[in-house]
Amino acid sequence: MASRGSTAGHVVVRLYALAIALVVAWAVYASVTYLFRSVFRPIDVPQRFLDWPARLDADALLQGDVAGVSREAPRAPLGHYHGVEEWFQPDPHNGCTIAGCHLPLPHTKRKELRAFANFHATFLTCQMCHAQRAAGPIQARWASTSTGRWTQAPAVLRLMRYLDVEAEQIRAAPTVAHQTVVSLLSEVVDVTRSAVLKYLMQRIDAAEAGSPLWRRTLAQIKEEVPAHVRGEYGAKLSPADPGDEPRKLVPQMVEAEQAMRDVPKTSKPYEAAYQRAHARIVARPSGCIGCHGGEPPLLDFESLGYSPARASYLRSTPIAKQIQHIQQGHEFYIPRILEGENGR
Amino acid sequence: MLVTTNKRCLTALIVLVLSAVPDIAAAADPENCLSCHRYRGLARVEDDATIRLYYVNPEYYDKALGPHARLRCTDCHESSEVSVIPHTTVSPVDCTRICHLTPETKTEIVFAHDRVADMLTGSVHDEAVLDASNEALGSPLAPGQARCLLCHDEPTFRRGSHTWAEQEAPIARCNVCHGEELPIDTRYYYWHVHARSRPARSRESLVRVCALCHSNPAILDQAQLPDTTASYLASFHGKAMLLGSTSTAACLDCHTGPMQNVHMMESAEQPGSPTNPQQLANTCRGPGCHPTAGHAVGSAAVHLELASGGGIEYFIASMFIVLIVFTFGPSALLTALEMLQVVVGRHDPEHHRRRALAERLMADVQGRERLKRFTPHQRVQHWILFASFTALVLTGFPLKFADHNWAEWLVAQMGGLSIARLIHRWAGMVLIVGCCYHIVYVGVHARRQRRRTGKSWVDTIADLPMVMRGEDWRDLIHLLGFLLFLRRTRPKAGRFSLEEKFEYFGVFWGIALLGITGVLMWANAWTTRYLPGRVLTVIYVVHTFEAFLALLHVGIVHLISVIFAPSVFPISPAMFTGMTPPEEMAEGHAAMLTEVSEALPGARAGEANHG
Repeated sequence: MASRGSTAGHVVVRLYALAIALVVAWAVYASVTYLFRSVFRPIDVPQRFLDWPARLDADALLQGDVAGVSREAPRAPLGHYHGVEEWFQPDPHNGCTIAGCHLPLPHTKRKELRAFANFHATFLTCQMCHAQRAAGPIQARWASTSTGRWTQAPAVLRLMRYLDVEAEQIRAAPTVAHQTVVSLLSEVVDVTRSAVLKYLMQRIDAAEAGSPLWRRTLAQIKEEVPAHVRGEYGAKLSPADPGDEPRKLVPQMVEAEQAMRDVPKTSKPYEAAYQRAHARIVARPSGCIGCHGGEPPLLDFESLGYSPARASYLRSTPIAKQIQHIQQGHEFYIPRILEGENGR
Repeated sequence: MLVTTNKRCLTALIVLVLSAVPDIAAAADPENCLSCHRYRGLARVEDDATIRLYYVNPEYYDKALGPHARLRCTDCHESSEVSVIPHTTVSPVDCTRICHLTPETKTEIVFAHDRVADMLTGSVHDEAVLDASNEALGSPLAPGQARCLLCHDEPTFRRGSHTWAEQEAPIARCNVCHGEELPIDTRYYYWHVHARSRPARSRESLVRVCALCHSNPAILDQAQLPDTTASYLASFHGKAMLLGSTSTAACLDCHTGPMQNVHMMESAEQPGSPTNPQQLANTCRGPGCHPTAGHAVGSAAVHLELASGGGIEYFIASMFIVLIVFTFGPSALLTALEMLQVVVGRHDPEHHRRRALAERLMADVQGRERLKRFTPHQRVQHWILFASFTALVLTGFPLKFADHNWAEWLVAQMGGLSIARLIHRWAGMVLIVGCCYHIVYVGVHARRQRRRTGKSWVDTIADLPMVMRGEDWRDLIHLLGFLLFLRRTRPKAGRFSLEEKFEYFGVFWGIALLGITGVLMWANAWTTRYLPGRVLTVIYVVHTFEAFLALLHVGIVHLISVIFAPSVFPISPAMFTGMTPPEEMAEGHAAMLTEVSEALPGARAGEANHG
């Protein structure tokens, strides 16, 4: 213990003794209350046994920690059959949602099209479709959803492109390719947390580059990776004028929302704040065809990191035309031609 | 006309593009529903602010993650409703509808879950009960939705915690033959069979399913049921489950008898129910549970809820609270008051003189030898006690606080509950053997004393330094008077202070109680053959409360006095060298100092100069 010879030493010893006395008092209190609780009060069931949502609640998307968004949901809500897992990629830098005006699933107008538009919100910023833009192709870049800053194309797209475009070089110089594949695959695993990709990464990483095992694993990777191109990127496409910072209007949106919060909707301050929040936003968003099949294409998918095959698919996808078809008020039936004799 | 042309173009485009979709998806999803439904975020917010999620995990089908992985979407959903985009209002899925399964053998298998629905009709969970539960839960199931969803969601094969590589290894072996010569969907079939070799869900997951209703206040109130999830989680089985045991009993293990279908669960009033009082013993004595237990095992209170009161366990637990308050309470009070003396800087008027005397005696070889309070033999016994007690606390208290995260973590660090249990039992044995050895050691010592003094056994034992005597109680009053500022002097304790004697007695009491109850629980099969089953729950209560009392005493009172008290900090060397620091000697063992100094006049020579 501190030297007893000095005054400071005495003070330290006394404070220390006081702390021990307080600890003893607290321990007595805590243990006695625990004992009384354990005998005289009904047992509390741990929350994790009761934490089972009856339904998916839209407001829950605005909270910080939501099963299915910030972490994997252990089980689907009651009444929902299919597994939920992590079904939505949160975007903490989206001004439209963090300001509190729009939900992360923002589309509300046409019931039958909402879901289609909403899944695009997992990899496109709102401004991609809703911002004013000059005629011609959209200059877009990837913005990280974790940092909010510009980032390179998602690893899953770069890997797919690398395996597609550089197939010849990979075959010719596997040692050089090995490092790139492992590095990109590692990034993909970090974002997707896929057990299958993790397994393939470990296997190719342990194999000697160019060996038969390495080539077989590479073939499996090439087959598996496209299954993970479904918006789980950790990044979103955002329009980017030269010199632009991503999400630069976020503070303005938050400020505008605060200004609108306590004033009547018909008042001038509300109208002014609304205009500020929606500066450069157009009432009618870009149509689907602009990106998916329009000529000239609004987006250069290949320059955004997509492989030529994927870019070609996105440019020619029938889904957009199907939506256009539906928008015209027609029904669209899925052709049954692909179903074989037994549908297997 | 224009519409027809558009449709043709679109059809052509779809065929073109869908044929480019990876084979893996085409094989598992012939209707290509996943070309849209694989996207996370495919969801919409309804007018009532709930989310309709249309996302379907493609891996479930691609990697055959569950028994429904080879069903087409239209096996469950109405083809006429989902083949039009956007889908028309989709009817709720009826789990009893017939599936036409067509495996590689090409022989159609007609399959439906309608038999399960029939089983439920006669069970404790019949349609009326499930409907009432749904209503009490706020009607999460829409009208027409299968009641199955109250307990089930998309079924998955339970593959354990192995990595994907480990899971795939057996598939590769199957593919040696089934790759080309006898082509079948090996991954699907392997897991379809293998996953059924154990429960489809983990025990915790099963309990969660039951807790949904059996811990829901509205349902409990409506059906006049106790909260059986709570009482299960407080039971030995429940605690083991919380700590990761995969072999302990969960709800279905007891409430579904062997060779009985879970969907045919009966209430305990039914004579055939495994939880009927007449059947309980048979249920407990199942081959995987307590096969050697006696018939009395059925009367053990598995769903023990102390708070409901009335039982003998409640009475014993209440008695222990009184015991703890009146034993640990005064010890803690003395400790706190001792610290208060340090805070105000108060000592016995003789303190400084005694401290100087202790230092001088310790400087003398003979004095030092005489001031040793513990022999090496005693110190070894203490270290064995220390080791076994620590092991018992570390392996036993996670069970008491099983619902805390630290408990689960601690047990995992030890390698799981079975290892923790093994350590606990053998540490208990070491403690019991150590205690017996100490009794023999004391007996031998007393025998020698008796021979030397010629006193009777009773007087010899009463003279042992650790035995409490009448003057100790007077000293206690004296000490309280000092600590409460009513007296100026401290009592003069000898080799062992009253607190130490009290702790010594407590160790004997604790080991006897914990040892007997521990052995009875360990030998539960024997116990239930010769004693009523309820004894198991009684001794469980005794064991857990006595252990708590022991931990309080040792963890707070003893550790403060030998480690944290300013007079010994950072640790008393008594259990290393046998010596007690001068400060502590002066404060707590004044009579011993006097005794040693009187025996060694030479060592007192400087007293006048220092006094």
